[in-house]
Amino acid sequence: MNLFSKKGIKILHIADMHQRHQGRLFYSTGKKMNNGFIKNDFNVLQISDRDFLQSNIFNYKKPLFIKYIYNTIKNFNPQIILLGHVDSLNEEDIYELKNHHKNINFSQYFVDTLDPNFEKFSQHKDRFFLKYQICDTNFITTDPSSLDFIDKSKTFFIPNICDRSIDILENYKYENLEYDIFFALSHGQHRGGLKKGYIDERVKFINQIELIDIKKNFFGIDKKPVWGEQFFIELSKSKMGLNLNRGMPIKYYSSDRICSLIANGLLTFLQVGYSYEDFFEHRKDVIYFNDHLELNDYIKYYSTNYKDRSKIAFNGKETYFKICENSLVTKYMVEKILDYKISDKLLWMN
Amino acid sequence: MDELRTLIFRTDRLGDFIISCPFIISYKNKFPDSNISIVSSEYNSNYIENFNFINEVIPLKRVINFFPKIYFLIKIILTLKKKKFKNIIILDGKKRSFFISLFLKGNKSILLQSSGLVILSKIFNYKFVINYEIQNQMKNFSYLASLLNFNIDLKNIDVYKNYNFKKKLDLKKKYILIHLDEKWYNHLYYTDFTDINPTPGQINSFVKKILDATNNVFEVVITTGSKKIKDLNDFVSDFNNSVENIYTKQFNNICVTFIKDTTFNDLENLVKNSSFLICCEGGISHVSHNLNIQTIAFYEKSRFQHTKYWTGHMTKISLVERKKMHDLLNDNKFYDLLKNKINNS
Repeated sequence: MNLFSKKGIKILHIADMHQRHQGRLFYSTGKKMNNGFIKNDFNVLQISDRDFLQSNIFNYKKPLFIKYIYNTIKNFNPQIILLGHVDSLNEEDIYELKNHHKNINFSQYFVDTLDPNFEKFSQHKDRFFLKYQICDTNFITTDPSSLDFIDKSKTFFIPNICDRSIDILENYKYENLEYDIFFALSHGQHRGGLKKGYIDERVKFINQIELIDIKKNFFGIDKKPVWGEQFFIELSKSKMGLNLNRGMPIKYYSSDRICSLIANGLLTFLQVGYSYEDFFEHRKDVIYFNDHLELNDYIKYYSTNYKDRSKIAFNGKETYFKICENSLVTKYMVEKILDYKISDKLLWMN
Repeated sequence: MDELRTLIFRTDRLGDFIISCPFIISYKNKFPDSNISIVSSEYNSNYIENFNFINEVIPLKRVINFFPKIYFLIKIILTLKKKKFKNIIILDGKKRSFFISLFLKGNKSILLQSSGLVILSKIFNYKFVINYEIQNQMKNFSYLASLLNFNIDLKNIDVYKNYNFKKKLDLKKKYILIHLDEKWYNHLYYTDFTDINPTPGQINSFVKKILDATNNVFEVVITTGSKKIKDLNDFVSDFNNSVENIYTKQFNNICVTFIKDTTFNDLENLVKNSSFLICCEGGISHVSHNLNIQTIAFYEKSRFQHTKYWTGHMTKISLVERKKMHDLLNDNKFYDLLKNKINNS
């Protein structure tokens, strides 16, 4: 099966498209995924579950939402139903949907951590499992081989995807930028702000770094989290970025922060232990650190060494687009879902 | 050892136990120190004892009358209550098994046959998975395994590793096995199924066509089930019967062997040593899947989804729609499929 014959494959993508956030999350995974499908000439139609169900007191809109899905399927006749974090539908709803549409391939993607050591693990696992039994394929941003409870024959890794129309910054081009290092955290992108009284383990780590003479641009710590275009404006002001995940290291997992940093041309510091070394080379594409002391030294060195910083940040961006661009990842997903041969096999694909 | 003991309920048929084996083996692989007891049907209990990953088999008596039934239930509950179980897993999804498990201590999970017990499962804090027929049931097993924090790796499971095969029927030459049991005759099976109903003459022709299609390279062995079938007795009436229950005859100078009254263990051994199996879909095709033997199995068209539910995970099986024996004899596609499968195996 060549790419040409895959043109026009119909995908019904049910995921949060953040319309109620009025553009604040225009760079969400769902949006990037849609763009990827379109770049591959797939015919994608989207239903934004959380936008449909907002202000849903006593869940009164759910029957309407389900009817809306059924009608959309009838009119659109998709080959694939791809579900994002659609927590509004329970196992029974998904079963009924599949039972009425046995010839459609059901798939889901889940981009939150499934690390068993993570404090909200059981919550995440339950959300993932809502659709897991019925979905023919599942895509996660953790390597399935590191998770005991996952059926590897139907669960596959995907990286956090980048998009040429969104991740457009090229910070490596600029020697002098307002800030040396960028870091942003929030307590949930839907919440937007920070939880009162909640001290994040990442804040504790950051407080250990000595940032004397380093100009930092930290959001969610010194300043409130930023979103939308303002996020990219702040990102554009920094030479380097810090990718810091919560919990214990687990193979290949990262929040989508990794993409925002590397794919926008910031020299990026990654924690050791996540096996990113399989994709990004130390001192060539990114910089790996073991602890705050090592990170401290790296930040000091690269903040003043433009040539080295620029070269690594440039390579990082190039590599990121070579292996994680939305067009590649979404093509792989469709090929897996439809059980086609993988046409352009990359390192992370199986 | 008590704290590592696991109790599994599988009180139904052979095929149900066989399809559960990858789940149980994977569980044992994940928790190697666990001691597995299985509550089985009386009929299956001797058979299950052949598998070394099961430590104890507790047969559940089939009693129809009300008071004796209650008596046996109380008896088994009291017997099981003496033991401590870490996990109690109900794979048969039966109300009776659920009821017994209510009186036992341990972490409980159930593979439900329908949504009937969902509310009770929630009330009594059972982990549950509904064994939906819309997909192959191995996926449902796999989901239950996920809930119990392990994974079924079908590619690396050998159900028959260290299995106690009884080798009294070892044949020397390569052969195609035809399992001609009661499923070929719908008056002995499901009456609404297409009746294959082979007459003695048609069986004769069928064997000859199979020998022709495979260029007389293989011998043919025919086995049958537990039910007596008159047509099969008539078919072997002109066979030589030098050994008890074993009948032979030359077809195109090739030996055709008919074996009567085999045990399931004998059948497994015959399947294991065969080059190909032809049968109606059922327990025997599950055995051939586990033994990695290429198989053609007949299924009923109206029950295709149900057949896929049982066989969807089996990679060596080719499903062929049931048809009358007359039509099967004239179905060139069937013999082409057999030829291709044998050539590629």
